[in-house]
Amino acid sequence: MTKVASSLLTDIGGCVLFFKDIMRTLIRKPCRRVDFFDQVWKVTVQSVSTTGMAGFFVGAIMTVQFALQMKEFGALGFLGGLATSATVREVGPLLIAFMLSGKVGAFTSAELGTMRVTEQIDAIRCLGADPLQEMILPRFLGIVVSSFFLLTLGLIMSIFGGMIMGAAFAGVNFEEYLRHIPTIVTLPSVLNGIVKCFVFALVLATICTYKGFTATGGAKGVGQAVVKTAVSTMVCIVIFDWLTSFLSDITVRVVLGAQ
Amino acid sequence: MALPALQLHSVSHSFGAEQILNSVDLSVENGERIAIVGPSGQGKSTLLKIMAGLLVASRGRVEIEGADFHKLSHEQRQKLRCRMGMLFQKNALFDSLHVGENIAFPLREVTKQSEQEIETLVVKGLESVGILHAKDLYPDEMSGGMQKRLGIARAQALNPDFLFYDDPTAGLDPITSRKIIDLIIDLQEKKKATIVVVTNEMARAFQVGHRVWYVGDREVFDLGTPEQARETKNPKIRAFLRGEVSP
Repeated sequence: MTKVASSLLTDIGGCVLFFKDIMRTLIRKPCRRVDFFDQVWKVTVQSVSTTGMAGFFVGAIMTVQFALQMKEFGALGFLGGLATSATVREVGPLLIAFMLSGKVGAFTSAELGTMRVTEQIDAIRCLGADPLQEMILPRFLGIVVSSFFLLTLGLIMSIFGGMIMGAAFAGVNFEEYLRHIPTIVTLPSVLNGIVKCFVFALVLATICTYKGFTATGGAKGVGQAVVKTAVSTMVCIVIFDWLTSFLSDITVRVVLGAQ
Repeated sequence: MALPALQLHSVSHSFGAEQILNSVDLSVENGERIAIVGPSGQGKSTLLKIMAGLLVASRGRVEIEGADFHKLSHEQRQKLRCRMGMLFQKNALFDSLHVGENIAFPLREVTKQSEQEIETLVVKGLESVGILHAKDLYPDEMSGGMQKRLGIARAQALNPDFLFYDDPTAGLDPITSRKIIDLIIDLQEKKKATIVVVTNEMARAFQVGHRVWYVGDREVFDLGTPEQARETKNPKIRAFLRGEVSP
């Protein structure tokens, strides 16, 4: 038990210090633009189809679930607004984070881990370059920036999925479905979604680069790094989801109270 | 009096509870070639990585031209690293880059030369190790000997003053081994760089080293010149150098 706690604390401490190093590198000597855009492109292209598809079905599922309840209250006109609000505030950012974790997080961790155990990262350092600047920073920023593109795509697809399912399942036409979205999906809801997306992306990018960068022990070590990345990111994303929901709730109350 | 190129002051290193090196005090002069030998798993590569600044010793300090490597500022350390080259035991070639790009990597990262100048240096570097014909191949499309040559060319790309070779002849046949060591000596004599070579082949160690160090039982023994090393009085080291089972 003590060993597990000690290992957990070491991991948390390591991640925090690693994040600090990444930020310091970002300020001191940012990566080359070409490397950054290359990573943004790679991450976006890698995840665009799965995110789009998952977004479509999430919108459809949310619509079906809400439709069942709202039919009883005769409030089907609000179906589009409520389904979209839930997706923007909660399901969208969470979905993007899980998608990226499974695909990009695992890939990044395996790629960096392999470079670590084959001493390629030591070689970069030995050749006078900074591995944090060369390898970590472009991947880190790539994940964070791509997550916004993917969130936008996921949300558009979820509205599209919801519209189709609303028409097919609850008889709500497209115009009616879209009508209440602007009134229910308020600016705080959108900001909440964006903040969550940003925080999840930071968590994911830090954990997967840290686990890959510190992998040891050959192929087995790389495998363990990938598994740890998948597990840690899922757990941390859920924890940070609770934390951001909690904090945004307090922030909204404070702002409304002040008004 | 000129400062030694490299000095180890009471360097000790442990991995967890296991101590690998205990209070090592040694120095390397400018332009000198040191061969490090010793049984497997005794800390030769660890010592090399400590000397190259890739590993921080648990205790003691490493001075390069009189400066404590790990106490330098980030910028100074990067500057010093540009004056070092290293060949890794398993080459550590960038497998996603082809041969030419492997050599161009440090030139692009560290120097401000144009692409044309870099291309010229890449061709020159590949020519110096005899693998220009493989310029467009990927590392895993090459033989072990060619990969070593590429590793050497990449280590030499920035024309460094300090070169560290971790087992440059590992897994190679005796002829290729000899050619690789000849190449290392030839390149070192042209540049007068300070080099440290870890090897498990005694013949190659005696061929390359101005001095021979033996790593064993957590200590490092300076055996002197190859001739002096052959005459060592320590029975355990003598047995090792002769390939006999130690008494």
